[in-house]
Amino acid sequence: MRDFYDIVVVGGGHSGVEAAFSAHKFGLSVALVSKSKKSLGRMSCNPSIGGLAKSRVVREVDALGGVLPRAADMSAIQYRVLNRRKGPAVQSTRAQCDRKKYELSVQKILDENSDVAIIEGSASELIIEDGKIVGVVLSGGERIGAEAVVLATGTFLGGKIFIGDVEYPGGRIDENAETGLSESLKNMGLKILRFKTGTPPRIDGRTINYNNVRIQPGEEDYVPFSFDTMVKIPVDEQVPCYITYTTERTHRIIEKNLLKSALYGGKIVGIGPRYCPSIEVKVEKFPHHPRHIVFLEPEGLDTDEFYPNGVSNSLPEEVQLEMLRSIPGLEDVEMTKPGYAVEYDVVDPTQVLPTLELRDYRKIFLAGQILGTSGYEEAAGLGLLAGTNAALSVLGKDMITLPRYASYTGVMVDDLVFRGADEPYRLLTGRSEFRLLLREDNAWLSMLEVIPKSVFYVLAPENYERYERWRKDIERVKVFVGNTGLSSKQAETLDVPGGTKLADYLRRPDADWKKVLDMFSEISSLEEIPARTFRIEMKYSGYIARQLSDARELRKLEFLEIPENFNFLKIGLRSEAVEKFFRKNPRNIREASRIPGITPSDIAVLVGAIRKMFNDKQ
Amino acid sequence: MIQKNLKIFSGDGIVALSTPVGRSAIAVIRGSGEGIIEIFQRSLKIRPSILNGEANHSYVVDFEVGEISDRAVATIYRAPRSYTGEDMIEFSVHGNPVLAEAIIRTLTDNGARLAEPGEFTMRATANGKMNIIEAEAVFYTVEAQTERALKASRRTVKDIPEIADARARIHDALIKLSTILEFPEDDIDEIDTSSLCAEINDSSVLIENFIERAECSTPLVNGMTIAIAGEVNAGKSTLFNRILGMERAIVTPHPGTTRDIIEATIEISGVPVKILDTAGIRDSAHPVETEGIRRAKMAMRDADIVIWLIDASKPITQIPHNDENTIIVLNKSDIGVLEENFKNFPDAVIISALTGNNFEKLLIKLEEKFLKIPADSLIASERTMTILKNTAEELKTTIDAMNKNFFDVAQVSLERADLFIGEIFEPEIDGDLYDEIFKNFCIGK
Repeated sequence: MRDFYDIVVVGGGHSGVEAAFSAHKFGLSVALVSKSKKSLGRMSCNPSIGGLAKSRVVREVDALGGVLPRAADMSAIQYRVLNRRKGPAVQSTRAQCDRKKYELSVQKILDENSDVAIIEGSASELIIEDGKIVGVVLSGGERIGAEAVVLATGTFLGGKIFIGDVEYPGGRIDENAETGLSESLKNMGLKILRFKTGTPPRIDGRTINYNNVRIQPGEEDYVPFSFDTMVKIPVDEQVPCYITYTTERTHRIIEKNLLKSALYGGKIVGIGPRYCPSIEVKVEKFPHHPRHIVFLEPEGLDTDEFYPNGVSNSLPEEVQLEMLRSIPGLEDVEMTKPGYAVEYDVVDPTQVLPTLELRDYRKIFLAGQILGTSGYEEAAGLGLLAGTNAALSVLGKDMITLPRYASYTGVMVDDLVFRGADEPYRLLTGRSEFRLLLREDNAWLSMLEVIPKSVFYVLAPENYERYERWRKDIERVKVFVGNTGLSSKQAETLDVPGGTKLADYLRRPDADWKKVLDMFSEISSLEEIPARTFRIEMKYSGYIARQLSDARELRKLEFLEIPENFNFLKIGLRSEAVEKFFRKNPRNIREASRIPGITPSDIAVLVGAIRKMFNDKQ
Repeated sequence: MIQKNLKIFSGDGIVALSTPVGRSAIAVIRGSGEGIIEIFQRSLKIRPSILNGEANHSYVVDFEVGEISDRAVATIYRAPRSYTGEDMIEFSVHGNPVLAEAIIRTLTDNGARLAEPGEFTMRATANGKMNIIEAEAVFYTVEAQTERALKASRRTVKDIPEIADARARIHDALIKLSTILEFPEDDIDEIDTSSLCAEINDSSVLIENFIERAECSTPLVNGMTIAIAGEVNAGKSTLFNRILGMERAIVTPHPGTTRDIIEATIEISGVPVKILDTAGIRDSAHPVETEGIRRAKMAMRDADIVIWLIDASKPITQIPHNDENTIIVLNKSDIGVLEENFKNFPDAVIISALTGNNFEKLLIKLEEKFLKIPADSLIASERTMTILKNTAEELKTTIDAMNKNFFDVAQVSLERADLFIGEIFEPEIDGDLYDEIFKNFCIGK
């Protein structure tokens, strides 16, 4: 261990790993502080990657040469495509992974492709001198100097675990929490929030009664998360999941023991995610639901453990077992680990800039759950952005931001830094107003369009070359179909009037692509990935064009500057809005509209007043 | 719609003359904002003092402005129970424009500010005293020219249930569609997309009906213009005077008497109608008459309705103007109708403008053909209509996309429909929204 690194990343989860991995590519010395080398890249909760909106982030990370997509493919044991027939913007790939193999893959990628120094330990304090970060103090008292620091502490920051009435400090089960660092952040004047999440118990697959559950096999027609992954897993080599349901008896057991749960016993103060409720919450909130679905997900190939997705809870261990055994298929089940709730500290994300740098402290970057998010994919996207910007800031170069219309990572950052988080933030397709532009198939193209070449080329030089080629191929084919009319014979085959423009034909929802590909080698010569993007963009061209023009309109309004020392008092705003604008001092309409509690009519009044002021001046 | 527990924002003191400029029985000067009552008290030396006056009470007071002393009635309102939600005062003085101007100048010299157009209503909206639709209704109430238009203008506020219903359906469908798409694996009771389609379709029908009804009612606000045109000496000015019920235009037996356009506004079936009497069309060498004929032709082009008048007792010399917005009228039935005119214009109304014979028939025809406004007429502003048309457009895209199984597109369009229609209730981000609405307001409604 040296006594100085250009960048120190605190935390070796999905966020910290991406941050360290992307930062090191800039030729800087990078240290990653983690409890243990062996826990790098650990999946604390469900053994799966992807899902709605999240899978897009996975592909954004892949485009920029990140770790998670490759590790997911290396360890995947099942793939499924959600919403396969409901439209490309809501279609999403999800994989079940072998938990052990996943973390080993992460460690392998890091080890083989980088010289990131792994420091086993934990950081207990940030060293700030004259308002500047100069390093971190480890819990053993050692000091490491750093020019920039990325904090990716996950659930370890002030973490506390709850199982029934048992509670102890901890970040994951059997892993200690980090307590000192919270104090250090509070002393820096940062506002700290407290969130909660939870995980279900683990069970022994050998004790599942498979006759009483429904099988859910994998699917063959999928695109691996990383374009570098060449081999797909045949469906018969994929490992299935199983589906079962809770029963009335399950619910009675939970109701009877509700006050023994940490959540309802009044021990937990942190705010949990609404979209991922524990089984206690589901039973309590929906008393009339006769059953709740439970997915039994295999933890891996070399283990008999299963992850019963849907029954996360903080009940006492013996109640957890009783509850599990009331579920069909789990009548004789053995529990290998109890479920638990974990409460942790979060830095209010509105204190962070869109570059993920703290507003008030240069060169301190935050990523992952410390910013109030949840999910591996979200963590990875933020980690990549934080690590890249940490490196750029050390090099004295312009940092990057990701716009809403090009990236779900950008949507997430924008939501977090301007609106804040009042519960653990999870990406959902509905969070993006431009979701027809944010599809799984075109993440590579979006990244190519918004990330400056100088940065892209450092992060993923081969991807850059490949994507540029694909982009040009698509452009060329677009010109070709725009200029090509169907001959009478071709038109007859396709059952349309002769002279129909090929482009017009391809925009039809019922276009017969197979026949077209046979007819035109210019189109069929496209490689698989650009071919898919081309096809979707043709089919959706009208809708996509409209979203693109909306995105341009929005940008125009958003960047209307609010003059310095603008007097919010005399323009007819509500007093609440006046107070908020004075306090937050937004620089433009984009910032103003994202202040919590500000209504669209407040923005309308503000925009009107600014425009009037400019008009009066002229 | 007063929102509960809403913090009232008080702006700086503003004043404005809220009655028309000019000589009238009384003039009302209105003030609103922080400390406005004190400003009136101090600068106009009001006796007895109204500082502790009770809210919603009127006081007869003496006041001074410059050299002048006079009496006035001061009515006091206290926040939040006033039109703007702020402290307010209505000061009624003798209707002399010089006096009113002097008072306003004194007030503005003493800390008050002249209100911007629509500023009172803007403050009322900002304080949640009324929503945007109500604010617009205030505008139409003030602008209403006939009793019927006034009634319809009040209906825009009350008659929202079907729009609220459509909005609720859109919102509900959006939530359902989003749930299916966002949580494909959760154990949601199967939501049937065809019933979703039906729900979206229902809301679309509600909105389209509303648009149709509101469009029928536009003449109530904008009024209509009728141009009376025809050959020289066909009796246009006589008909004009007949419609007006008074001798407005000069009538002589000499062809080409009317040169310039004469206009007057009357009410027909509750619709404000502007009637134009125009110069007769003929080939003329006289430069003034030629100019009159040019203006007549322009009026015919711009009018909503043209009454083409023919002297039925003579053969025609000009090809009659005739399109779907024209009524052909054969005049001078008191003299007689030529057989050929009778045959050539079977649909024409035959009247005598001079004696009034059959005149009622012409009015009935006008009403039936052009001024048919449904009994439940209502007025929607251009902004409301734009919003509803946008909403209807998005719903069409939604249904179309659902039929193609483009559920992602359907969700986006439905979301936009939801946003659009939501603007009727709460304005969405749009820079020019308030500007547009409030610039239509006169000061001090």
